[in-house]
Order: sequence, then structure tokens, then C-alpha cells
Amino acid sequence: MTKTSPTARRKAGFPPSYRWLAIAALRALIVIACVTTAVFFLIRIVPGDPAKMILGEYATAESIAALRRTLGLDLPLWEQFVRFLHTLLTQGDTGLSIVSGVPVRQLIAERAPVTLLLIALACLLAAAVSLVLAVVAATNKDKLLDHLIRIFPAITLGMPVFWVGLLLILLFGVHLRWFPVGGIGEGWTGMLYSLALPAITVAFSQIPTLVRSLRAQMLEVLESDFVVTLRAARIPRRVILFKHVLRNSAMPTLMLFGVNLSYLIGGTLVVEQVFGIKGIGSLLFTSISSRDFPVIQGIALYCAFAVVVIGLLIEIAAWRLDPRTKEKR
Amino acid sequence: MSERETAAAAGKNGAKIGTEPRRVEEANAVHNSNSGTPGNAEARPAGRPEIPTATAAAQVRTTAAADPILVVDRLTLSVASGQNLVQDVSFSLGRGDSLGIVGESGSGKSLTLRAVLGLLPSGVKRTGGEVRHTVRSAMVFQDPRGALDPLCPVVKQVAEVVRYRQGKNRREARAEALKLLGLLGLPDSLKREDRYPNQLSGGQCQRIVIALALACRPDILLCDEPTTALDVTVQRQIIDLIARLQRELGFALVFVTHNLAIAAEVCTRIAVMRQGRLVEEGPSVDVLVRPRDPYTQMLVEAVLPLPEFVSESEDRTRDSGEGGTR
Amino acid sequence: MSTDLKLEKVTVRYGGFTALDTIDLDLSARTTLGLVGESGSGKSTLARTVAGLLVPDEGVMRLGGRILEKRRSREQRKQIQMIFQNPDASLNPRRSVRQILSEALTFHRMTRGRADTERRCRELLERVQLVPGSLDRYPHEFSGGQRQRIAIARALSVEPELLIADEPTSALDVSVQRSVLELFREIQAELDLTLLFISHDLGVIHAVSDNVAVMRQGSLVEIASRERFFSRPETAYSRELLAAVPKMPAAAAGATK
Repeated sequence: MTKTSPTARRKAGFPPSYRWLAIAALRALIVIACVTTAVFFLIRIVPGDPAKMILGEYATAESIAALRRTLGLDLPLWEQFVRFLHTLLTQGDTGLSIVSGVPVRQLIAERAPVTLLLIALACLLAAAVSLVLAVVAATNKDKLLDHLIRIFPAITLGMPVFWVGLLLILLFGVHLRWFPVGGIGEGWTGMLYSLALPAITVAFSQIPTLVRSLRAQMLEVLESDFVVTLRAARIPRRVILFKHVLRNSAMPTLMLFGVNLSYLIGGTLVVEQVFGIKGIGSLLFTSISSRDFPVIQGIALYCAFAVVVIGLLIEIAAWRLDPRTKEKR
Repeated sequence: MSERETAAAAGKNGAKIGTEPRRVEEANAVHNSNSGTPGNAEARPAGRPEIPTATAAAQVRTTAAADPILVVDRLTLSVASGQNLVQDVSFSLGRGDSLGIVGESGSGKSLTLRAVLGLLPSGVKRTGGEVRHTVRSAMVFQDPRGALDPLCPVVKQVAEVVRYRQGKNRREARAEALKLLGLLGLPDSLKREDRYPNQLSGGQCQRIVIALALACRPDILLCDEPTTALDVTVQRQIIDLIARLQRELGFALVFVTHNLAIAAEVCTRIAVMRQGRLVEEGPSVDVLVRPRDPYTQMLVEAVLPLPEFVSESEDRTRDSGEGGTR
Repeated sequence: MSTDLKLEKVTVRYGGFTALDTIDLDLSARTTLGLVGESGSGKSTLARTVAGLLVPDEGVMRLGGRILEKRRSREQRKQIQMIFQNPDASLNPRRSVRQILSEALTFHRMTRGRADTERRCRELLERVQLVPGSLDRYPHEFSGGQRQRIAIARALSVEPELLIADEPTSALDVSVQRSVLELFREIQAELDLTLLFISHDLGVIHAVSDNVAVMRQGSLVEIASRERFFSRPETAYSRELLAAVPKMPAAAAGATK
């Protein structure tokens, strides 16, 4: 059977990798389209008029109406949507900020680096800490350490990100004075230093689910036949653990990480606000409070894009890593 | 394989039990040369299966290796709830011996093997008796594909065991692994490109698992239903392979199976287990030809008989004319 | 009524992989055909195709002279019943044995009224040697062998003419296997069934078959009467299969006779 099957499979016309990629890309496109559409209508349903916000409380009805006309907000909703799509497709952007008149792309580009750095730091931290905790928990199953590590998520899962952020500021910023309480430091080291607490805060929200998933996976793999084979062959425990068990249990956790990425990005935007970091998050908040529609849409669009692309990259990585899925090309 | 059958068929013309005594005598010889005590009590009756049952029964009781390398002494295994899965199981094994443990599902045969290996599944504990052995053991499992890391190329897995068990560097280990795979009849293509377990057939995977076991240079090879998941023709190859390796390398063998015929082919002694207890133990032929325990009798009777078929060469000479009739 | 099963050039492909390659097969009424082959030989595909679970890409199947179409009539579905290796496949775990049996009976309108159904259920249980008290119990309360008996009773409830058994005893212990095989022999003789019995175990095939068919890589390699196949197999592959079967010590084999 095995002699014939590889060739038979190739003949059978299983989708080649680029076809799979095309399907994945199409799926990503649909997700992004849905997100932008939903955001477009949602922010317009929410009460609050950008014109009133810009002109202030004492503006006359006429001046508000005039501004609404200039901004195109007096048009029927569907026509606004068509205009929005038009700018999006011709310029690849959501237009100019209502408030400042600056192109949305430029606004985002200015704020993006610090946010991206924060996300990257949080990811690294979450991955590293989860890995250590999961390995310790799985190898000490049902012992004190395991119980402690398992209680930790149960407590922290109920804590909102911003609250954790505030606690950390109080503890490390105000009382211990180890870290700055907010803002961004000068230069690379200053930047990293000031981002430490925010990164810990964001990572904190991810660690519980990651640890739980990885621990469960590892326990399952530790019970599997091939681990018994390796143990029977008296291969050192650390080799079994790090070379075999971890690799085999990493995949589902990696996938979970991809799914959680949207939460992580959301968390980052909130945490920026708590720590007074001028990133995408603070841009989003000011835009929301001033009903700066194009900016909100732009941020939603880029965030959706980032989530989808990274998710896709993770899927590709998983697929490249696992020889079993490679077969099915 | 076919020559073996021819030989068996030829042997049957002379004496009805042509093949079996010879097999037992072989093992006997191995045993003697190792233990140094001529004429072990338990193996001798097997050479003459015609002796009366009563005598055989008396002899079987004393079955114990003279210079054992493995002693299982009143072993009891239990789960947390207190239920005994294996109870008071005792047997011993001399250098180069082979013992088949047979029984139906739930008889505790696999657990006994895991206890010998020293790796009980989680939740099962040894609550009585002991397993004594001072030599290296290695194990071959029922599900060959599950017994290999799916994300690791197979050659690498064998090389890893060679490296850690034989203290070699990476390159030496790989060379040694490839040599082992060649010995086990695995294709040369493994040398050139990385192969993962899912790309190999069940039989090939089982050969890899055997290679892993041999890389440990075992004095005792523990086999847990190593052929149950395989097709008959592949099963035959693996059985022959294990028998050949045992002959050449001289390790002792504990072979767990539900198939009495396989146990008889591979092992000189058979132990029958039922519901965690050892109900009968003795030389293979004795146990299967004159089972004393009613349960063993039932097992033997449940084996579906197959008639002898005329081998290819004889068939040709006898009726070369009627080849194509259906 | 003749209920021969006739397959003409039946071919099944999965994508580009040919699982069944132009199979011609005659299964005469009231006989048992033992189908042997190793994994991947296509024997289960053949069973599923005959049972109507798979549609052949080419070829014609006839049961009792009538063509088995892609969409089977209720009558044809009733005529062919299948038993699987894992009895749980055909036993809904949430239904009692009575519900399992009466469901098939009422669907195919085999009985008139509640009392008749009840009587028939009891009959069926007796037929597969289970105590009548089993009717109110659920599948999980039975052992593997007993569950297989319930599956057999369910298949028999609609009085099929062709029964397909796909490795029905492979998951069972040897002692249980023997009694289930005996049951198959009994029902085949008593109910005039045509039986297509699939197994990888040549001992099992020898115990139940009138004729033996050997499959390999999607093709039929050999068809012969049981006596002929087991004493003088025609093809090298059949000989290889037979030679591979582990043998009991000769004296033990003789003792069982």
C-alpha cells in the first residue's frame, strides 16, 4: 500500500500548496471586508456627531449643518459607504482625518512603531513565561508546583487588563520605583525600559490560556506511546521533554496563540492608554471620542489586516513544521 | 518464508511433530551453553512430547531458570481504587530464554510486561511482589506507528538511541543506526532522505521500533503484541525477524500475544494469564498439546484450524495440467 | 426467488486512486463467500459498495437479476444488510435494545402493531442467543460479543437476503469469536442467507466460507471453493498468505479436531 500511495496521492489531485494559499488569502480578504463593513456601520449607529464635536457646544445649527455637508455626513448611509469604498479601493486608505485633516495612513504610521514594539515584546514575554510554566507544571503533575501554576490562571483570568496594568504601576512604579509609571523613554534602552511594564501587563493576559493549553497538550503527549518508547530506551528525560514532547505539543498552542492574537492587540491598545503611551491605542481613543470616523476605520482595517496575516503566517508555519500535513499537499 | 513451509511440510512426512521438537532443542542448546548446567529439567520433556501428561505436569511446576536474569516474584499491580489488575504473578527467565505470555484482553499480560520494563502507565501501581533484573531491557510495542515520534525522521530517532545508549557522537550514531536498519531489512532510501513515520508502512515502522530496541543492546527484549496491528504477510516477516534476531544476538525474550500459535512459534515456554493471574506455565508444546488448566484448554480449542496446503513445488509436479481452473 | 449477487466490472476511485479495479464477482444465493485481503486491498470498499454506502464509478451490480441503482429502493435497502467490525457503529447508545430492533422493524413495515413487534423482537433476541430480559437494556451494558449479537439481530430483523459482514469478529477475544462465528453459520443455514463475509484472518474465513475470494490492491486475485483454496491455492499471493499464518504445534492442532 505504501509503495503505491504517494504517487497515487499525487495523481489524486490533492490541492497543491499555492491553491491552499489562494483559498486562505481569499478567506482573509473576506474577513477584512466584513470587519471594515461592520466597523463602518457600527460607528455611525453609535450616537455622537463629529461635526458637533469639532465645533464645540456653542456652535449654531447652521454651522454644524454646513460642516456636515463638507464632510459628506449628510448623505444617506449607503452613499457614504460607497464613497468610503471608493477611497479605500482607489487610495488604499480611509481618507483624511476629520479632525486634523492629516491622511489617516500618516497618522497611523507615526504611532505604529511603539505599538508594534510593545506587541512584539508582549508576545516574546508571554511565549517564554508560558513555556517555562507549562513545562514545570506538566513535569510536576499533581504536585505542589503544578497546583500553584494552575491556580494562577484561575485568579488572573478574572482580572481585566487595565486593572492589572494599574496594579503593576502601583507596585513597581509608585512603591518600588523600579519602572517609570508612564510615557516613553528616550532612545532604544529608554524605550524598552519604559515598555517593560506595559509588555508585562499585556503578556499577563495571555499567559493563563497559553499555559493551560500547553500543559494539557504536554500531559497528553507524555502519555503517548512514543514517549514510552523513548523512556523505555532510557533516553535522558530532558531530551525527551525538549526534543520530542515539546515539539509535539506546541502545535495546538501555537494555533491558540494565533486565535488569541486579536485579544492581544486589543489588550495592547487598552494598556497603552493606561500607561500613557502615544501609540495606536491612544490614537484610537482620541479618534473615538472625537468621532473621527476615517481614523477609526483606518485603525480597524489595519488591525484586522495584521490579525489575519499573522494568523495565516502561523498556519503556514504549523503546516511546514508538521510532516503529516506536508503529505497532504 | 516458503522454504520454511516446505521444510515444515517435509518434516511432517516423517514425524507428525517434525518442526517443534527441533525448535525446542535449539533453545535448549542455547540455554545449556549459557547456564552451564547440562540438561535443564524444564526443557527436556518438550523434546519428547509423547510422555504422559501427568509427568509433564509435574515437570512444569518446577519451571524456573537455573541462573535467572529476570525474576518476577508474586507481582501484584493495582489501580488506586484497590482493584488488582495483576495478582501474584511469578516467573523467571534465563539468559537467551523465550517466554510467551498469552491471554485475552484484560488478562493483565501487557501490564505485567510494562512492570518488567519498569514503566507502568499512570494510575497503576505495584502493590506487591517484585521484579528483579540487573540487565538491560528494551521493548517493542503493539502500535508501531504510535511508538515513533511523528515529527522526527525515523533514522534520527534510531540514531538518538544509539547516541545515548552507546555513548557515541552524532556521526557515529547515525552510521550505526543505518547499519541497524540495514540489518533489519529496511530500504536504503532511508539513508538519503528524511522519512517520517507516517510515510512508512506498518511493517517498516515496526522494524524501526525493533531497531530502537536493539540500539539499547538489550539482554531482554520485551514484545507487546508486536504483530497484532500488522497484515499476515508482514506479521510473518516480523515474527521471523524477531526469532532470527534472538537466535543471532542471544537476548532473552518475553513475548506478549493473544495468538497461541505465534507464541508457540517464537517461544520455548508459554505462560497463560487470565484476569490478572497466571493460570498455567510450561514448555510451549506441553501447554498447547496437553493444557492442564480448563481455561488454557478453552483457548486452545478456540484456535480456528487451517488445513495444510500443498506447497507450490509439489503442486506443480503433481498436477501441472490443471493450472487455470477456477 | 433467486438472490444471486452479480458484480460486473465494478470500479471505485477515490480521486485518482483506484480502490476497486474492474471487479467481476458472482455470489450465488445461500452461499457464503469469504473475502480475504490485507489492509488497503479494497475488501471493505467492496463491501461498502455492495451495501450501497459507496457508489461505483463504473460497472453494474445486480441482486437477484435486478440492477442495484445509485439510489436504492426501500426494498433493496432491506434486502442488503451490513454488520461492521465495531458493533457500536450500528447501535445508537441512547436507545434500548427494544428500540433499536423495533425501529428497523417498523421502518420497513415488517410487523403489524405493537404486540407483533414485541413478539418479533423477542424472537430475534432468542435467535442470537441473548436473554429476552436484554430488551430493556442499553448497548453499553453488554460485552463486545453481545453487542455484536445485537447488531446481528438488528440486521436480521428486516429479513435481508444478503448479509455483509465486515470483519465482525476482529475486535473480539478468541473465545467469543468462536461462538459468534458459529452464530453466523447457524443463521446462514436457517435463514437461507447469502453471506459476504470479510476478514483478514484466514482461520475465520476457513470456518465460515463456502467459497473464498482473495483481494489485493483493488483487484480480485483468486476465487475458489473453500476446499480448493485452502488445499491448493492457485496464485502465488494466496500461497504467501496461507504460508504466513502462524501454525499451532501439530499435535495441538490435531487435538482440537
